[in-house]
Amino acid sequence: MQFEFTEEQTMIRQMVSDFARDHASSQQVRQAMASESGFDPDSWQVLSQNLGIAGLLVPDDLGGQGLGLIEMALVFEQLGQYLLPSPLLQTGVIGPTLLLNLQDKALQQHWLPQLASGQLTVSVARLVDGIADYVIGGHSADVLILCSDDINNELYIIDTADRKCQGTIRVTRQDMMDQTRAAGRIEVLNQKGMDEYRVADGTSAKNALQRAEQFGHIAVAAEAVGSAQSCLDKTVQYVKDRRQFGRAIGSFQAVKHQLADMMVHIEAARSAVYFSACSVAEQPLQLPEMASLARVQASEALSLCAAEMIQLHGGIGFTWEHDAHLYFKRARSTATLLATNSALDEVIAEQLGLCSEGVS
Amino acid sequence: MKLSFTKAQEAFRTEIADWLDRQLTGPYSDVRGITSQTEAAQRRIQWEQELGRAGWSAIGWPEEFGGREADLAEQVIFAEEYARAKAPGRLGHMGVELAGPTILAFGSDAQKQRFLPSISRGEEMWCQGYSEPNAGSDLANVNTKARLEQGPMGKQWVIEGQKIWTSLAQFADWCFVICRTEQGSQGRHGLSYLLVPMDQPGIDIRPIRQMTGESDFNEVFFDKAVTAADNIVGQAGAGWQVAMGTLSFERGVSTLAQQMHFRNELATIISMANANGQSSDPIIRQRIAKAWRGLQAMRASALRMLSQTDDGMLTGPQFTYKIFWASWHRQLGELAMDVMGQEGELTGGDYELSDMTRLFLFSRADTIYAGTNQIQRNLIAERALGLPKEPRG
Repeated sequence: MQFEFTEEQTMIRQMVSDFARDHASSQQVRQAMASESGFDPDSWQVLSQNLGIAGLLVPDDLGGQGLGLIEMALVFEQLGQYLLPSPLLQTGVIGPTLLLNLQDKALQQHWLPQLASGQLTVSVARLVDGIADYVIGGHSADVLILCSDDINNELYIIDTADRKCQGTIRVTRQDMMDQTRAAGRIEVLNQKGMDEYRVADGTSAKNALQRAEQFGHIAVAAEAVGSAQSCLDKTVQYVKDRRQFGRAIGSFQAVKHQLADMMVHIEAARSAVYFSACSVAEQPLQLPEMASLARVQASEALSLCAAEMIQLHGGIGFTWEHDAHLYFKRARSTATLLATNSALDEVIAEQLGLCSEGVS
Repeated sequence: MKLSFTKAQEAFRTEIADWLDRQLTGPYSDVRGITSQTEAAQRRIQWEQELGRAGWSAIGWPEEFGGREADLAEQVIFAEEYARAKAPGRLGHMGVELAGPTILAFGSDAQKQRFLPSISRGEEMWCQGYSEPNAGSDLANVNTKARLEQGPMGKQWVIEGQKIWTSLAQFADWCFVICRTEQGSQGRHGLSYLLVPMDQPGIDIRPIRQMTGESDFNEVFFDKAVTAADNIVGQAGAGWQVAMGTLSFERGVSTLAQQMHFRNELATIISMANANGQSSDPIIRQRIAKAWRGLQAMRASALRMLSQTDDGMLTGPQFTYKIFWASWHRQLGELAMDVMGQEGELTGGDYELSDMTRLFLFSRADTIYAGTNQIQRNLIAERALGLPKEPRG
């Protein structure tokens, strides 16, 4: 039992913190979110290739760093403080986790080195009746991993650079309220044409996708904790500076108590995220409830903190110019990304053995 | 970060679990699972002595004072197993967790020799004389006074005043009392930390009947109560620093034990919900899931508090932990009542409460004692976030 980060973990945290400071100013974030791809290729190159973060979860022999969920959570917590759009969630977490869980060596050897090196970006999506909506990075990804949401759970991998696929699927950008998470729609135009992309199906495909999304929940949770911390830090600074009635508004108890509540929620969420990452690393069977724990706890904390950030900034917090709305919108997209909070709580309810039908 | 324990630590866990199991299914089966603070007090004092004889009472203390010099992980394991075994609430906890550590940190060698062994052996119970009618949240406003006078056995402190909300005073042999020893002093200055024997004519204990119908708390009146001149911890006039030291000992380990108790409560709520069909109500399901999340967050927060680093990302919960658990526990009580429905409102003929109904009522105190939620928010805002301090009158 040990309650400290290793030297390596602290180092990774510092490295990513330095990166974010240099590459994720408000201006850089806004430029990236206004671009067609939705992210800045130069900063992505630094993060994925120079720093090797895209390959964090990929084993050494496949070109990655062979690290785990705890390191990943620390990375996302740092990145979350800024809102820099990047393909990391899909390319560094969900995609590789899915491939690693497929137990198909040839697939892994083909794709993982390219993902780990940051050469290719990937998006994973669930097809419902041949359509996947709001797929993060779906409009710009080099590789699409699609899973049909029917009883067969067919899993397809499509290299979008291959022009041949253009008659089979159509990819369009979808403009979303949270502009820091660019998303797209993927439509299957010709189901027959999909056959050549099929790589797996059945339970193994379904489980791999589920585990990948659950890893994704923990990464998103860590990111949300970082974002919530930013909301708190920026608001604390503002209420120390802003004066009304001849004193800093941060000296009013109504304001102080609101900020204290923000910190209470953030610390609980941070605990939940570290705990879930640690628990899963040691006891992988706990993944479903631990993913729910982290995601819902962190999502709720961010929603509270982003909303209070606007309220405590007053009028300026309502402007486009101030970043508060970016955090507020990020909070909203966090609460529904990959699954809603209530669906995730239902996963916990089931794990706790709550009977869903009548008296047992 | 690692949550798992070593083989040696797991062996230690087995040792304590076996011992507790033998005691609580054998000679002490009658005190197993008692959650009320005052029930079967005399038997629970015997239980304290049993713990003391076996060396389980104050395991983190030095061996010369009856401890085992257990490290942090072992203390965590002990706390977890203690709660898992449904051993009764510790009547001796004021001595073991507050008075003892304070004497260890600030006391003289003679005080350590005199007081620590009797605490770790469960022979002397303690209570805490801090709050007064006009010194609640504003603790520094204490008005109980003590002065040094010549007594029959030499110099002694003579104490006048009143303490209130004194838990378990009716069973205590000693009280640690903050009182004003410099005439005319105000606030944090001029206070001293005295150790006062409870069994004397100058002390009058009156139980306070609480909303649960039970009496855990008392008023304690000091009318020329006395204690020997050397029963002062730290310097005269420096009692505030000693008292704050006492409050800071409450860190991590005992909260893990408390969480095991919370876990038992949540498990009870889950089985009640399954038994009466409330478990199929989606809102109840969500609330139970949320309660479980809070419990996990608390466990992780306690582990973060136990980290002995200065890394702010690990030590943050020391500020937020109290308000979080207290608010969580209050909500758990409300959840329990909603799961039980009207049946939960049934009491015994003498207003005896079920464990869950007591939880619902007693948890209203959780957000008041040991720093109200409002005081906690002030502390977080001022100490952790660096916001301007409240004006003081």
